Amino acid sequence: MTARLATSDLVLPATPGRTTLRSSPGLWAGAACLGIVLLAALLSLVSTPYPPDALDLPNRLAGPSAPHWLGTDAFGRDVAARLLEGARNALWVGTLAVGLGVVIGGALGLLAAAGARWLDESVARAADLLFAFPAVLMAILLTIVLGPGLFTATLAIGIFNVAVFARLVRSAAGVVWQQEFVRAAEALGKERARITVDHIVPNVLGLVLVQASASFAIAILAEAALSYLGLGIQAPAASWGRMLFEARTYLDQAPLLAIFPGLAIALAVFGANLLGDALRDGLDPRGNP
Amino acid sequence: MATFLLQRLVGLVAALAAASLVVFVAVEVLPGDPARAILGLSADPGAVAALQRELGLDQPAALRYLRWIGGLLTGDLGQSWAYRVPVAQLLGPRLAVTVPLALLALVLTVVVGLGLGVISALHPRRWPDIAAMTFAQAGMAVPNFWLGLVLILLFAVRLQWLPSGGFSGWQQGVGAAFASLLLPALALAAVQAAILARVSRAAILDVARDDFVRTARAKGLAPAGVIVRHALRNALVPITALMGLQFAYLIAGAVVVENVFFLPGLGRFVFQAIANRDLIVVESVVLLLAAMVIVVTFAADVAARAIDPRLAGRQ
Repeated sequence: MTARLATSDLVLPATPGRTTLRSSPGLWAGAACLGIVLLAALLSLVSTPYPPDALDLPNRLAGPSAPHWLGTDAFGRDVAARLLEGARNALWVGTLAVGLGVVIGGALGLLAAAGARWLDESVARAADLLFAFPAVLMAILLTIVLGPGLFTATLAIGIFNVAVFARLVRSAAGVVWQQEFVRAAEALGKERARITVDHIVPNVLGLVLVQASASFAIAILAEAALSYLGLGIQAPAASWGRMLFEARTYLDQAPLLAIFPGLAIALAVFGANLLGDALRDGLDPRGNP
Repeated sequence: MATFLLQRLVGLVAALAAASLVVFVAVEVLPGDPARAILGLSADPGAVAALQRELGLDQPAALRYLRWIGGLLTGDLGQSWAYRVPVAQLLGPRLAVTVPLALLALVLTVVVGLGLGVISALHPRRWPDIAAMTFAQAGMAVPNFWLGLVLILLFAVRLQWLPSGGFSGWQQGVGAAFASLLLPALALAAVQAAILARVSRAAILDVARDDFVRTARAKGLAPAGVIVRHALRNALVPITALMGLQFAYLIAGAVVVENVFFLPGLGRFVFQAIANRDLIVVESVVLLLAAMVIVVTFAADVAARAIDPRLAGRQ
């Protein structure tokens, strides 16, 4: 029990740190931005102004108006409704891809730090290798085998995240394994698996949380890019990236079509980045420069 | 340094070999039949079998891999299914677009990113710092392909200063080719510059707290001189390492941005190959792009080691 208290003091901030985190404007601004996107996603589950794939051909490429707040696209589909559905898809892919990275990458990192040297080396080298395959390259490879779609996009972004979290957790856990209290627990005969659960995990959780925010932002960008390229979410389902691809043809006629989805992506990414920065500064016991 | 270099070179070769294995396994060993993928689900089984023989798919995977690798080492990348010419012949003209695009983006990244980082570090928490960091935060949130569209809208559609897409080719003159690459490179560099600005600011401020910087200030050197002559040189170590890691994103970004601007580089080529089911081209291009990332990461690693006087002193 004493050791457990000692572990939490190492990385988790003391009371003043927590107060700083809670009063950080970045944290609240980031949470607000992501909150808007989350609300949009939830709203799309309950109700949208029009069905996102309902065609209204006489009203195609219309500007913002009372019936269509953000106008219509080249098929007369309601832009606002498609943005809401796009929010749901973006959050879905982002959460799954980062979750995949945290769970599998995190577990591999913990195993590498606690296990034999060959295991540690293997995980490190495998993570290094996967770094050479950013989501777009992995998605190209997977598309050949699996075909394009939400699953391929999520898997491609997720595989890259496995490498990110495996590397992060391996090195952070390695540092904690060298701490006196962990060595003491080991000397007292505590099993390595037990030490991992009791001491290592609580001490790397802060770092994982910070990285998860940054990775979430990158995942949203990657999903949009893959959908833009036609490797991600497929029509008629709405995706912010695909909306931008469709807007490319009508840049001079309907420039707003290329503005709204971009702003939606920027809002989500900006929110996740702000949240990540605030968490990093707040959870860093040394304080920020 | 020699031992370090030798170790890293062995690591580099191993990484390249492993990357080739990843590409091969993903395309040719995972469930799914490339021949059927090329011909379509309703293809005649006889035609599928014939194509499997033509592509060598009836042979064991290990043999196919060794043959592919052997070809790569001798410059023979195989024959394109769609174009019916050697893949190596097709890659040259595409590389002449992608490599200059990546280099131009890299130069813009370093100039803008490092510039903003230094300005921020010289005036911490004052308005130039706040302005530069706000710009950086915004730059990080903007997807490169959206920025590409906005730049097209502004500079090609509205102002008509630069082309909205396509590539005039180097034979039409460097000026025209440069004009075709400028907007894509800007779209590509914005995010990277934003990240570099934040990291270089943090790295310089971190070094600025060190004793040798305080000593330099105490000798009467001006703050700007101290930053440029002392702090920046030391901060270059983490900055160089970061640039190596960020190169993967630059390459991935180039694939996307080339498709936004219809640039006939490797990124656009690989998408045409996917549409044509030209597997050997997909394999070659993806491996080439991954190899670029691995080699640049290696170079950045060695460069960081070379410019760090402390590490060099230990040798």
